[in-house]
Amino acid sequence: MLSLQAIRHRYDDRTAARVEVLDLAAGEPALLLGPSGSGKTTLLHIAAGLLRPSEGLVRIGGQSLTALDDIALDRFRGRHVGIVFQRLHLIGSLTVLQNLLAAQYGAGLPVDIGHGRATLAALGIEAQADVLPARLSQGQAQRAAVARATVNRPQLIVADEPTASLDDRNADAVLNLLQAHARACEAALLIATHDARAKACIKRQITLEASA
Amino acid sequence: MNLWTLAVADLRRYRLSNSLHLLLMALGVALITALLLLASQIAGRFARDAAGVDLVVGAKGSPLQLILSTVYHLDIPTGNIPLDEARRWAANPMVASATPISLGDNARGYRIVGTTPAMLERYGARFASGRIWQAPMEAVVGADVARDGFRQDARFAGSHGLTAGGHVHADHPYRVVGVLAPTHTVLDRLILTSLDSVWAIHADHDDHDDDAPDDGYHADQEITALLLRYRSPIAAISLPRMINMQSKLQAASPAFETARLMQLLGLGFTTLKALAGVLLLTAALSIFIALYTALEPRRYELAVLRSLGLSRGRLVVLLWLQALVLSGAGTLLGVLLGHFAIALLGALSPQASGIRLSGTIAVAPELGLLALPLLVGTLAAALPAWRAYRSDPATTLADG
Ligand SMILES: Nc1ncnc2c1ncn2[C@@H]1O[C@H](COP(=O)(O)OP(=O)(O)OP(=O)(O)O)[C@@H](O)[C@H]1O
Ligand SMILES: [Mg+2]
Repeated sequence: MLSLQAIRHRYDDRTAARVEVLDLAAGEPALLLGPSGSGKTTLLHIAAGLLRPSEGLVRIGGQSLTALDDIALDRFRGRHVGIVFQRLHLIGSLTVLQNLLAAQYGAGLPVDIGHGRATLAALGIEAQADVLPARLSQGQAQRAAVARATVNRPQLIVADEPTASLDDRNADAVLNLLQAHARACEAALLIATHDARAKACIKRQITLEASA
Repeated sequence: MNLWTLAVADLRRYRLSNSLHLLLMALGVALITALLLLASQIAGRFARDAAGVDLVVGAKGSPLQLILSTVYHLDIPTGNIPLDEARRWAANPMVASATPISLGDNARGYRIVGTTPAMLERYGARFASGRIWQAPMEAVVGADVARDGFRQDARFAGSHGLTAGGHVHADHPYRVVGVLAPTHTVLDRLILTSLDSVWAIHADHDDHDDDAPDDGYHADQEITALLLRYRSPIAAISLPRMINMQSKLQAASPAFETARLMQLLGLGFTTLKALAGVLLLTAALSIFIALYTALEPRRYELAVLRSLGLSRGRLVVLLWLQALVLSGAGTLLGVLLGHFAIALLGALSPQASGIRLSGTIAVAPELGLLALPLLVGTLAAALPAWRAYRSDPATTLADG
């Protein structure tokens, strides 16, 4: 589902991220590990189509991202990639449901309120559909962020340090949630983290080396 | 869910500060609207009041004063002219019609104008009730005057001078024999009577000879001015010069004098328009500051929108839309405020002042105001939109 080949990314002649080969099958979860500054976030953004690598090939579901122009890449990312940010970044002026509808709109899909509510229901927060994100508890907000990342049934879900600021119970819950929904969408799941708790529950691990 | 929903939701989130930006815009537009309405209504009123008058012949003095006093009934007259001489000019072949008027008295501040029925024809006035004067001391009153207590068949005494408070001619009461329908001209505020009535009162002061026959007149009889209408436009070239050269009278053109007056007023309008321009610029700046400072706290949300699939172009449209909503709503509110202000001014301005203002009339230049939000919004959104276009979502999202 996700395939990275011979990826290099440089900022001002300094290599910030490199990976030779990384293939993830549909529904397969993997961790991206490495010390701080090793390029986890950079690689995640490359995989998600947010950043074009200096060198190398990125394919999602058979589509080469290099072949897409900027607008098509934006559209493709909206349609086929779900991103869960560490600080969630729910849009504060929109209700939880509207955040999901914004994802449908951004992807160029027809806005489907019923499907949005069903997605929220699957995550157990349908009662919060019409609430602004500021009103949510930490756990509810995380579920809302996962709902937004999965509402378009993406082929790839990426998450950057999703457990960094959470206690054990919440960290566990989020990891399980991500895996369950990635499996349900048959999406590859790539999680960047240096959280030991994640290592315990996801077997597939890619470790980046600290860049020189 | 579309760009519009996104734009409005975000504007609603900071509704207090956004309302203030909007209000600033509205004030600038309100000032411009009020100026446009004032200018057009004053000009329109001047034109209607002077309808059918090409030239005024009166006593020497300030030409502007002559016009203001005899056509617009605002100033005091420059003096009187002998009736014979006025008749001589009225009979000139270049003159199509002539209306004599004689001023001097008022009733509770309303000017009593001695004249001929030609005065009514000039304004196309129709009677709401009654008939035209047929004998001395019969009066026809304008609509506003009638509403102020001078009803059909009412009796009233004139008093000396053109403003309330002069010597009262209590022994010569007038009777209202006709009331005119509103004409929305100065006629609505006048009391009209025959020249004989005016002469009778003042002759009576001299020699108690108030039985002057209808069409006879004394050699020393005077009127205030003669309002002339040319037979052909050619007359405009020679007639005024002839009158000014060949007699002790003065000829003045309402069109020329009001143009001069509007020019003087225009100076004031220009200053006010500049002020409104500054206000609008301030409004544009204020909307710009609103959008620009919001970019910093919004940069994550804008980056997230990119990650959700929105292109750079659509972020630009989003910001532009927000600027348009603010400036558009500001313009709309401003136009309403401007009309309201004029309506208020019209309602509060004392009955005695000449110009009746209306807030319910729209003028063509207001259509030009519709382009304003486009201009202001685009100006205000340009730099924020450019920054949003340039910003890289990966960089933004990497540090948070
Ligand atoms: N926009 C940028 N411009 C220049 N250098 C950058 C930029 N973004 C990242 N870098 C550099 O690239 C390297 C990799 O950064 P990255 O954020 O991918 O690391 P990371 O593994 O996610 O670290 P952390 O665990 O601290 O989040 C770092 O040395 C960083 O300073
Ligand atoms: Mg990182």
